[in-house]
Amino acid sequence: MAMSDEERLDELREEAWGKGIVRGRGVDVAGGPIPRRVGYYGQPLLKPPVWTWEIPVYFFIGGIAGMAALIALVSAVFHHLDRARMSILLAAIGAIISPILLTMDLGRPRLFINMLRVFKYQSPMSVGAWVVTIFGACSIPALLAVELHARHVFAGDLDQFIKIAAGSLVFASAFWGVLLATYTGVLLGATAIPAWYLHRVLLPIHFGTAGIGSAAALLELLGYRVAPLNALGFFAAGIECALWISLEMNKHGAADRALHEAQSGWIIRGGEIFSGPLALVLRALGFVPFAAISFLIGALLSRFGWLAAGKVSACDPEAVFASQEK
Amino acid sequence: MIGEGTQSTNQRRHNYVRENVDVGFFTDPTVCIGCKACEVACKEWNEVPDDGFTWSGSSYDNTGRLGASTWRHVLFLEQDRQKGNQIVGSSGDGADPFRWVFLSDVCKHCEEAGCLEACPTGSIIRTEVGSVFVQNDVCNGCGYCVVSCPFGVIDRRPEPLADAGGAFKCTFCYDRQKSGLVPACAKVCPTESIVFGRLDDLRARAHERVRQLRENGYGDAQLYDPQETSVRGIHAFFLILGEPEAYGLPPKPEVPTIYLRSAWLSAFATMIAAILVVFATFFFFA
Amino acid sequence: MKAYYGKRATAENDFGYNWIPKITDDHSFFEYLYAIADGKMDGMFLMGQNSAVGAPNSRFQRKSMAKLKWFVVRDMVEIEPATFWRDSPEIERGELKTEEIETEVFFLPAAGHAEKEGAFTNTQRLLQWREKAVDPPGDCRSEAWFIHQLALRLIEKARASNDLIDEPLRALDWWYAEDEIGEPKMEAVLAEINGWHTDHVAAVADRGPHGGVLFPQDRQGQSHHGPQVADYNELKADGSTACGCWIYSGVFNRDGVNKANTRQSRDYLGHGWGFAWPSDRRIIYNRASAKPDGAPWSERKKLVWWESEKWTGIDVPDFKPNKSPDHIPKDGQSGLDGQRGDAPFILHEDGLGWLFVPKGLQDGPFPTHYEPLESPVRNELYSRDTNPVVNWFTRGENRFAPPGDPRFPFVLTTYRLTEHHTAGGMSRFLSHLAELQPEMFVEISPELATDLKIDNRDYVCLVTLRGAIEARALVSRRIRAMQLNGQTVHQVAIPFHFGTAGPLRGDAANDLVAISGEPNVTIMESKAMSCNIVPGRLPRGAAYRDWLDRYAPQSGPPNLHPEQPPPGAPTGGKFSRGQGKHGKAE
Repeated sequence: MAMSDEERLDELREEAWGKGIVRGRGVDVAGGPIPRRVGYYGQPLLKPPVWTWEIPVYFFIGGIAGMAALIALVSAVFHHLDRARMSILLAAIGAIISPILLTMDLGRPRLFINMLRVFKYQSPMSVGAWVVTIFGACSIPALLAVELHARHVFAGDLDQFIKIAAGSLVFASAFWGVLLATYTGVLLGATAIPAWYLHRVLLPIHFGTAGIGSAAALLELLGYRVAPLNALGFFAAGIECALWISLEMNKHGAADRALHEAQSGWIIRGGEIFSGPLALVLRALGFVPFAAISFLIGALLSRFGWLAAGKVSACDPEAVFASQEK
Repeated sequence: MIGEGTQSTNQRRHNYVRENVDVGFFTDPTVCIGCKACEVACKEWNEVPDDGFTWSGSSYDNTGRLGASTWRHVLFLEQDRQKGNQIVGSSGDGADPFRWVFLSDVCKHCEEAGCLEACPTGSIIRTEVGSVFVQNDVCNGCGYCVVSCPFGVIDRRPEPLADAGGAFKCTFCYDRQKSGLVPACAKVCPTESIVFGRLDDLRARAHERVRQLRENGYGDAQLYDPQETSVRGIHAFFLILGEPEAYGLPPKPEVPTIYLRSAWLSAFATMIAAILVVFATFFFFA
Repeated sequence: MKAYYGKRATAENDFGYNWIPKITDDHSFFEYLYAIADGKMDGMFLMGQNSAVGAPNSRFQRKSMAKLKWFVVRDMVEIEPATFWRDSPEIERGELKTEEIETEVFFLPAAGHAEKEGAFTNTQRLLQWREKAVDPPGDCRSEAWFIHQLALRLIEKARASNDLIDEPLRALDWWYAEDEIGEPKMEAVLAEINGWHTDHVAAVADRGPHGGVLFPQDRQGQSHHGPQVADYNELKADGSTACGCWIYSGVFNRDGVNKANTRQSRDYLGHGWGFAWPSDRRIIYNRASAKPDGAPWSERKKLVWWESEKWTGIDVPDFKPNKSPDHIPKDGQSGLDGQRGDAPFILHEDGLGWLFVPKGLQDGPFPTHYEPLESPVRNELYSRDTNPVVNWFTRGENRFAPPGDPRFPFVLTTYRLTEHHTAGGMSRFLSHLAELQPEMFVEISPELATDLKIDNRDYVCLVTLRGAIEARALVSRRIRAMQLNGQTVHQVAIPFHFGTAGPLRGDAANDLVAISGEPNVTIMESKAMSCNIVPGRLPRGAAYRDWLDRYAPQSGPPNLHPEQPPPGAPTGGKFSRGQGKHGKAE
């Protein structure tokens, strides 16, 4: 990154006070004494997202929780009760952390409840708020029911009822969970920011895949070194490789350069390398825990990368103009 | 209109809110003198805090752009172009042209408003007069409208400014309009570069003004009112000289809801694929 | 005189004429500034002005303030003159030392224009009444309050003394009643300005709804004066009437209507909205709107016309009402009768408009061109460069660069910004205005910026012989170089509103401007001077003086310009004894 104007000015001030005169160049040097910048004095056309670290972390945790609920369901269907218990535990923990992160990021956290004033299908944020809420309302009781059943707290008909309730709740958690893991792609994709909306098809796939892979990786790290999870690991890393290649191939020039250039581009690229090729190779070589860690790092990094790219892209008037050239 | 005195739509009382009349702003830079009275009147009436004493070096514009604490913004454009029939060059031969254009920018109050569609709390609503209004007491500051505005207008107000955390933009002085008053910016505009009135009247008037200017040597005068894109027109539209890009206006703004279909399709496909893949792995690798 | 001294003004004492202070010299602003600098003036009231920023050679202004013994500053905010003794640039540079300044500074908070009542008179001669919207906050009070309270206290002190010099104060008729926060009733003042009959039983016609007497009681509740005069035609020189200002007479007369406060226009000239002095006449010399024969030139824009043997019209005729259009003065007639009936400019002896001005102007009779006192070029029109009757105010602190001085190759001009008001007391401190123009800058053409290797937003220093300031460079093609006699002369331009007080940063443009006096009304030349530009920041502290001496040597004779007389040389103008006025040497 180039030195900011203010830093340069401070330097000029010091030099001026030290020597009494400044011979060097000032700020806005590009293009001579009058700054010639794209658009209106290079001012951003769009507003960059105001979101901070909570949102990418939420994307990461929400993805894990949602897909863990799916794994819980499938594990239960295939009678891996142990695995199902751990998965639904992860889902429930995620369901608790997610709204906390979302609320922390609000400008007025006390008014979080206003999210549930209305339901607007055309607003991914509204859909997401409801999905998080319903997911929590399913997965947390699901955890309770599963544990009650697994520990045989009750007997007889009541236990049967709890078993059915647990099954239903896990099923519902899985349904809302996959939605939770993928809607975030729509959330970014259906905005005015070129780097995001130009990749609105890729984003849900990427976020969903990252969710599955992360959930599987986390379960593996928790000791569930089983073949299906390993297969999921291979699968997710493979898809991430493909997505990376697709992202590198499908460039839109200046319009989405935030994804390829500068800091934000490198964060995304780093994320893709960790969760794609690196995870794949490590897993193929049998370093499963390292592959799992690599994938998790990649998934988290890439979420930060997409937010950073959104900020860069919104502040880049050339990107906006390029995206609207037709 | 200038010359109509107290009968100008910028000055007289009205019943637009009660009568559900669509209203608009027509902003004409060819009569703007760059006094920034609209910026000050807006901030005074709406109690918008000052947002920093930063000198920009961009002509006389130290405001920069619209934002949470700037609802009117006068652009100061210095262009190497001729303005209308002005005589330029030391010998009047047209060499070395230059013009200084002022334009008061504002929230566009889109026909299809990205912020309104995106708002998850229902804080952003459309009023009786067709303007887009943020209910400050409802907004919880989620920030989704910020990335959904194709014009980069609305923003979340940062600390330590008063009433921070909520999203803010031009209210079209809805409170004033409810009392039959004209928005503060239009009321104070000394040259009526900002005209407030019925949307249909203003559109007709704007087309007439463009025609008049083009006849009088302003070959690059045009209306900025993107009706052919998914935004389907804006209630605060502008006459501009030259290309919209130079004014920081997007040439083809689109309301982000048009991206929903493909994004959701992708999401649903991903969901189904995810379910199938997890079942498949557990089935085949169990 | 009756308005000043009331019953104490009598025919026997020449209505107290001897009590009135007399003009003994040129008491204009620059003259008394020099008197202050020379230690000849002890104290000053500064009200509604910011001479530390808004007056030419403001560096000298600030240094002169330190020579005062007492200094009363009244303003709405703590402006630079109120704080010059502790945070002026001169303190920072060591030119003044707080502990050595003996000036006692009183800062008194003033009320804003919405916090006090009174009348504005604009340059169209229109009086418009302004009502108070809110009480001023805290101890802020209007200027009227200050003068009123000061007068009450001074009169009380004078009454306690037997000194003859206090006699004029003892004689003052200070009768104005007050409201609950001590503000004098401004309408009572306006009533006095309008004028009244001193005898409350005066026989006047048409006494109106209030018996024609407005604000009848003085501070002791005694009957103070009689009915209002209708207009200045009722005024008499025998002491039977009193009037604060005859040209305003009629604004608040026997009908009890404050005409400055009327808000309903009756015609396109605005009669019914405010009051235009004199006699609510809206257009001066309006006889000129009619042809020599008295018929209007334009039916649409007619003002006055001759009809049935008198002048009548929409406006109040600015002409003798019964003087016919074909009046020819006879020998021996003088005054208005000495003017022809088709001569509308009645304040000129011949009643005619003047292009050739044989009298009145110090620098008539025709407009012509001289170079500014400081100029990078010579005058192409005359052998003389500068106006021969100009006042140079020659002084070591107020020097001018000679024509074509290579040390000061650029033309400097000053201007105002829409966002700020004069010296900034009413705008720099208001955040909604301050954020729109938050810092001092200098506009420079791209060509000059390239020559000097200055980029937009860089800091540069501007230097003249009076001082140096720092500003940010605003490079713009709006500023163009001038081609003067084959020579490229660059011009730079600065706004003048900034100063050290308040939230904004910026040096005062007036640090660069010289004190000078246009010969008629002593207005300084602030729109054209010569300067130098040095890229970089201005050294702060004591280093400033060495730096300034490098670019603008502060030693040498005070009159560097060849046409400039030395200090103390004989001078022209209305007050030839004025100490600062020089010139008209030829």
